[in-house]
Amino acid sequence: MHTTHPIHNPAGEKGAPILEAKEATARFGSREAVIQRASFTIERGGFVFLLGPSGSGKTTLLRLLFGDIRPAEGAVFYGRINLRNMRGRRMAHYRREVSFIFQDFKLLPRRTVFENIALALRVTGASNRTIRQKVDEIIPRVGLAHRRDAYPSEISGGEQQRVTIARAMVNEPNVLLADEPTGNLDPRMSTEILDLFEKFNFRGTTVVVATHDAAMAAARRRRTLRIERRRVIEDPA
Amino acid sequence: MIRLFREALLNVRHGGVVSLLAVVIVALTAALFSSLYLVRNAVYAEAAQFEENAGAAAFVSDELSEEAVKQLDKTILAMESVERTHIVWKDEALRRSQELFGDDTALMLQGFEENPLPVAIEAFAAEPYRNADSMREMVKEMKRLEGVEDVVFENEALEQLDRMKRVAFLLGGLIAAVSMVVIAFSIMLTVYARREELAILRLLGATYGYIRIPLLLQGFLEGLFGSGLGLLILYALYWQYGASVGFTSFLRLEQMGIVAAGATLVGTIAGMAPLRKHIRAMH
Repeated sequence: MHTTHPIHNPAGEKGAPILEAKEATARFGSREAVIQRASFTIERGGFVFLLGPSGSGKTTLLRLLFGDIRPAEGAVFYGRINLRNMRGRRMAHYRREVSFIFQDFKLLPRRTVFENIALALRVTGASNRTIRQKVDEIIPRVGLAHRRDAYPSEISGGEQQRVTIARAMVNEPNVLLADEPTGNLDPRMSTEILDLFEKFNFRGTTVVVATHDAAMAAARRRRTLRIERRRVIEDPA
Repeated sequence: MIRLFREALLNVRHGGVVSLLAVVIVALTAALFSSLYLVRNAVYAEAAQFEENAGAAAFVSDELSEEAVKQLDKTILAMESVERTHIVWKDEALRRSQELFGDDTALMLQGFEENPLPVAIEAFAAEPYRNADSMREMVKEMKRLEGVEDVVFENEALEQLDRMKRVAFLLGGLIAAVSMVVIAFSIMLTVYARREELAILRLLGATYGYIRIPLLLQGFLEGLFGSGLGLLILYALYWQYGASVGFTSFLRLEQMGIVAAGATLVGTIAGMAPLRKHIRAMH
C-alpha cells in the first residue's frame, strides 16, 4: 500500500502560503548567524529563485525550509505547521511532501538509475507494482529512458542531475527545493533542467531554486529572493 | 514483514565484501565455539563415568551394633548431597583388601585375632554435588555424625576434574566474548560503510523504523547464515576426521540450536549498537 500520509494539506488554493519564514535566524553553534531574521512567504504553485553568491547561505536557508536544521530564533511554517514541532514520523512524512535536490546529487553508487529513483517510493511503503509504474513513467519525462539500468558512475553529470530530479519528483511532492541544480552543468543542460522544473511547476508543484547565476534567474522572469549580508530581501526586479 | 526481510537481504547483498566478511567471521567463530563444545562433550562423557562413582567412605566405630550401623546408613542416605549408599561390612572389607593387596593381606593382618578392618558406609554423591567443594561439605557433614570415626574421599581426582571443567568454561566464555566483539565490529563496519545511504534514506523521508528494522534483520540474518555455515564447516570436518581423533558423536540438536540462537542473538544485538549513533540524530 502506498502510504504518503499527508501531514498537512496547506490551503488547497493556488497562491495560498505553503512555506513561510518568520524572523528565522540560522546559526551553527555560537558562531555568527548565517541567515539573519529572514521573513518571506512562498505561495502554493509558485516558482521562486533564491539568489546569492557562493557561501551567502542559500543552502542553509533551503535546509531551514526542509527542516534539516532548526532556526536559532524565529520560525518556519509549512502551511500553518511550525517545523519546530515536527519530529520523527511527522518529519519523515514532511520530507515526502517537500523534496530536496542536492547540489552533490546524493545518489547511491551501487544502485541503478531505476533503483535510485525507486528509493523515494520505497521509503513510503509503496508496492512494487506502484514503484515500477511510477518510476517507468517519470524516467522518460526526464530524458533517461536509455539509462534506466545504468549505474551513476556510468552516466554524465547532467544525467545524474536528472536522476536526482526524477527521484525528488516521483512521489509528486507539494514543494521542490533545488540547491544549485545547474551549478555543475553547461548552459544547454542548465536550460533543459530549468525547463523541466517549469514543467513540474506547471503541473502544480511549488519550486524553489537556489542559484548564484543572476543572469539565468533574470532570464526566467520569476520571483526572486536575494540573500545579501545574511538577510533575505525581495528582488524588485 | 516480507518487505523488511527483502530489504535486509538487499542490505546484505549491497554490503558486498563487508557483509561477506561478517558472515565468514560469524561462521568461523561459530565453528570455533562449536568445536570447543564438541571437546567439552567428550571431556564430560569421560568425566561422567568417574563422577558417577564420586563418593566418600565413612568408617564407623567398632562399638556400633549392626542395627546402629544401619540406622547411621539411613541418616547418611537422607542427606541432600547423597544419592545412594552402600554398607561395607567387615567381611566385604576383608575381601576387597585381599583383591587389592593379594598375599600381602595376610601379612598386614598378622597378630590380629579377628578381622580388624572397620565397617564403612560408602556414600555416593548426587549429580549436582559431584565436585570437590560439595564433596568437602558432604564429608564435613558426615564427620559430625555420631558413630563416624573418619571419612575419606578421592579429593585429588575430583579437584583435577573441577580444574579441567573450569578451564573449558573459561575458554568457552572467552571465545564467546571474542566472537561477540568481532561480530559487533563487523556489523558496525557494515553500518559505517552504509552511513551515507542511511543519511540519504532519511532525507528522502524514511522513518526511523524503515531504517532500523532492516539493519536489525541484517544482523539477525548474518548471525543466522554465519552460524549455519560454521556448523556446516564443523560437521564436514567431524565427518572427515572426527573418528580419527576419538570423537564418537557430533553436537546434539539442542546444542546446535544453542550455537545458532547464540550467534543470531549476538548478530541482532551487535546490529543495534551502531544504530543509535547513526540514526538518533536523523530526526
